[in-house]
Amino acid sequence: MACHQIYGLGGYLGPDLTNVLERRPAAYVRAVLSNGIREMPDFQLSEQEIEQLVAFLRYIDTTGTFPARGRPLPWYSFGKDPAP
Amino acid sequence: MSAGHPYTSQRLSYRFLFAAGVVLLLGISAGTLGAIQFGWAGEGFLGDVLPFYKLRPLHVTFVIAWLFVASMGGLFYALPEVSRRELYSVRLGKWQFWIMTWTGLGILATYGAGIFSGREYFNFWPPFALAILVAWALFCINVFKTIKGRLDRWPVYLWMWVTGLVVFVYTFLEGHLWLLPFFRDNIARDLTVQWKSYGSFIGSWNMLIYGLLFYLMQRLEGEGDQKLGYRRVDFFFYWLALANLMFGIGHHTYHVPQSLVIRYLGFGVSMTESIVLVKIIADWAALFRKKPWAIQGSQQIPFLFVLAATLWLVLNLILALLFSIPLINSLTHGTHVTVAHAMGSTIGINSLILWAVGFFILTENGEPLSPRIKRFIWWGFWMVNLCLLVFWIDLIALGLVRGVATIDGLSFYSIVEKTRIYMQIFAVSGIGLFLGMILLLSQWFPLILRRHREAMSAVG
Repeated sequence: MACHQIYGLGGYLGPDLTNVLERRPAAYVRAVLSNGIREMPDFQLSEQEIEQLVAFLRYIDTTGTFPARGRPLPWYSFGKDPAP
Repeated sequence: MSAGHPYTSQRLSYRFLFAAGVVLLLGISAGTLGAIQFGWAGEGFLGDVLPFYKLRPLHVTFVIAWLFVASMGGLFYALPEVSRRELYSVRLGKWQFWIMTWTGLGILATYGAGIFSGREYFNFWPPFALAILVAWALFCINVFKTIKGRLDRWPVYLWMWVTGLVVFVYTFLEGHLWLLPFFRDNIARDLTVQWKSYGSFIGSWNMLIYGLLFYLMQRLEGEGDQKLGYRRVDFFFYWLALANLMFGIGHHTYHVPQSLVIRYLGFGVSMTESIVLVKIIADWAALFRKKPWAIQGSQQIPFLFVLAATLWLVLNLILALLFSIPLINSLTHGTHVTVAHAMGSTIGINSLILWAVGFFILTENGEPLSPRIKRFIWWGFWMVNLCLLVFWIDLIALGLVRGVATIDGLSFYSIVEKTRIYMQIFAVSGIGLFLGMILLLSQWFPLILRRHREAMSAVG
């Protein structure tokens, strides 16, 4: 949580990861986790750890969407009940 | 009898104020290094030795520690006077101090080794939480035993301190519920509980600090306003603050998939802060009319710190009210507008109040401050406030640009390039803030040591 966010909560150094697997293929995410990218270092993760992280990101992707999409709502409204 | 202080046990507050200064120094050093890495991301400034993922938790943990440890120092000073007797146990206070010191050193060592919990606020190896709870329990025993049976009617600040003590325990436990699989295994539940607990956790330190502000104002007003802290209006705002502490933080989790009831409850209760806003503006105007800058003597410094803190309270309340509105929140959530609110509150409000309380304790009934010491404090005061203003406005601008760019569908790295200049202004004003706080601390530590020496020579 120091660098990334889930549902907009966390640090701001890296992108929000809620729907990262919708935007990028799993192979790309694995490559980033293996080697690092730009200011993200290579954390020396094992294959198993990388697979666990990809599975975790896949799970988060199924729980909802951030940022919300669709037409703007009235100023006071949260839209329909999103509870899974 | 202690030098300048009617109760010997009030001296216990010195060691807590000193330790608070040390953890603040650690926290702001980590924050400034992190801000430089953030502003010039990718250029690796000390990144090999102190990477950002270690600096951020170090900054957050130790700055929060400053708020709590300085509050403890304030309470240990105030309680004997409020209850008109010595503290229940100085020895218990010293035990609390050493448990906290060793826990802090342990957390620092584990951060160095790369051991974290991965959480936003309680980002340390979970067993340390037990040590913190033990220290907190000792603190609670000392507070409750000191005030027990001493007052027919409690002033509002005593209610606020007691509420802060109890809510801390509740939110601290709630913030560790992720250790149970029931909470950890569902990301929406985990995030909702985690961020709800953080909102109330912030409320717990606010209760301690705003209580100290009430106490300080009663002391500064002297015999002139003995009703302060006992009026109906004071208790009305206490209950309103308590409601916000429990429900108003729903805006933290508007975007997490959760019940609409929680969102609307959070929204509705957050809007009640508009009543607080009106009250604070009136209080600030009343304080301004007293022309605290024209006050002679040791009261001038705490008065002016309170005046500035009240202004920051107005600005941050307006910001909080605006981003609690769902439409605005959808633009600002997950952006630096949130950081602006956090920095404005913890530095502009909480820290300025704690400096006001600290300088009050360190100057009351003591030797008058030399012009040189006063000059350093004023330079620090102005530097902190002016740099914080630039920092705060820049973070809001950065957040809004990022929010709009996200809605426009720009990629993360395009947004980073687009906002680079804002991040660099953030880093530069952050360095200015750091230097301002160093100026304040450069007088904070010697003043504590001086008061300690005065007290020891009075005893000897």
